[in-house]
Amino acid sequence: MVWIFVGVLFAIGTAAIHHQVKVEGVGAGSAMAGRLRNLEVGSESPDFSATDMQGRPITLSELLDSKVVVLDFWAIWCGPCLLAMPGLQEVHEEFGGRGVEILAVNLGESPEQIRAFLDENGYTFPVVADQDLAIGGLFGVGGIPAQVVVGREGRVESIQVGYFPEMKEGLRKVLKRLLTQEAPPQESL
Amino acid sequence: MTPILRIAGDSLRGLAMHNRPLVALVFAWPLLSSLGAVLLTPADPGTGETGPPPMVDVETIILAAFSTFTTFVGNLLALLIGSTIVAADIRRGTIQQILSGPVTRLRLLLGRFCAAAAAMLAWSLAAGIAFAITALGRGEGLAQAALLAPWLMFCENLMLGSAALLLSLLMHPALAGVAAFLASARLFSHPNPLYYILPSYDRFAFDLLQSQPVPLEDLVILTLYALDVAVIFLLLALWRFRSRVEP
Repeated sequence: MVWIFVGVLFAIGTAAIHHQVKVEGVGAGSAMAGRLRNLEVGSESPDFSATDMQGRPITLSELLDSKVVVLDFWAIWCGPCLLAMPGLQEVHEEFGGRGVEILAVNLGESPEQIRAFLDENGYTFPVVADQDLAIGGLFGVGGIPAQVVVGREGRVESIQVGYFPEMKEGLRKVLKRLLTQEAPPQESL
Repeated sequence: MTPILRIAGDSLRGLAMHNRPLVALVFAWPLLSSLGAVLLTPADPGTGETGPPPMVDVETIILAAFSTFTTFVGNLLALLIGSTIVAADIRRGTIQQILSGPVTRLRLLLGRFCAAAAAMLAWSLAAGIAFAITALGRGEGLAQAALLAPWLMFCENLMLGSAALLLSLLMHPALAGVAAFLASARLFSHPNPLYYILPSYDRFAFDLLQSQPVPLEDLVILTLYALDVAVIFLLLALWRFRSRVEP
């Protein structure tokens, strides 16, 4: 009788723990989609203010008044981040004039390093140097590259951690959906 | 409890006696990392150099590779020990002799697994010291280097070792080691049932230089998950051990 009770308890515990790991995605691994440490899809995005590499002040909540914002957390030393960059530039060129702002947040590197990298590669989307990792910490970025799409209502619409070749297409789909759903009143009329 | 610990102690001594290079590796790893930390300490950026800074931080890449390699060696050790700690006696035919003494299959299996777990813990401790030395040299987070990364590595190795032990009772130990390494949920995704059945080792992959600290709640869940998987594999191994080795 005792062993049956122990067995049932073990089975319930196993189901609960495996649900947490397999379904809820608890883990230290960086290849997790849909979840960062501090937020998940559907939650309200944290706000921050910073200055981009051209010296323009940027406040996320102000951008969100009129645009969908794609935050891309990256670093120069991170190979997968660099693989994702050309796709990000293409998305910037395609959606930049259609109410989408790409904002690349560099984690931990100096403005001089970032500027040299951007000049060498010709990327034109705005870049913010998060040298003290304050913005990365605010969003709970655990692994990079990490892309967070924030809708005009300030809600996180998509999170993607890690690089894979279909990443750009995935981002395009999300942006197309959001632009259709979230078209401002004057556009929808 | 005492017989299990006695078996574990004997097995651990046997492991150390027959695998001296591995013991040497455990002690050498922190020394190696000390050397690496001294050689790879980033130079003062304010001295001398002009022109654009380097595009790639070579030291960081080497240290990331060192961290990954340390984890990989730990995984190999777990697979090697797990797949041979019981199966070697079965293959040599000495298991009957051991079981003719006053020891049950359950105690033997648990004792041997405890010895394997102790060896994995020793490697994690060595890795923790190595990571801590590296972190001190670079000003990285010391707590996660010395505690978090080694603990997650130990949990992962506990699962790998128990999987290898189970599979070694079903097939050749070398094949069992390979199969245990490959039988991972990372190769599958929802809604494939194998994603839910196979262990998720990737949840324990902690990149020392990239990842942020894991919250305590998640750490507890991961630890319970590893223990749960290990217990399930050990129960299956016990069932197989009983049916395979007749008295």
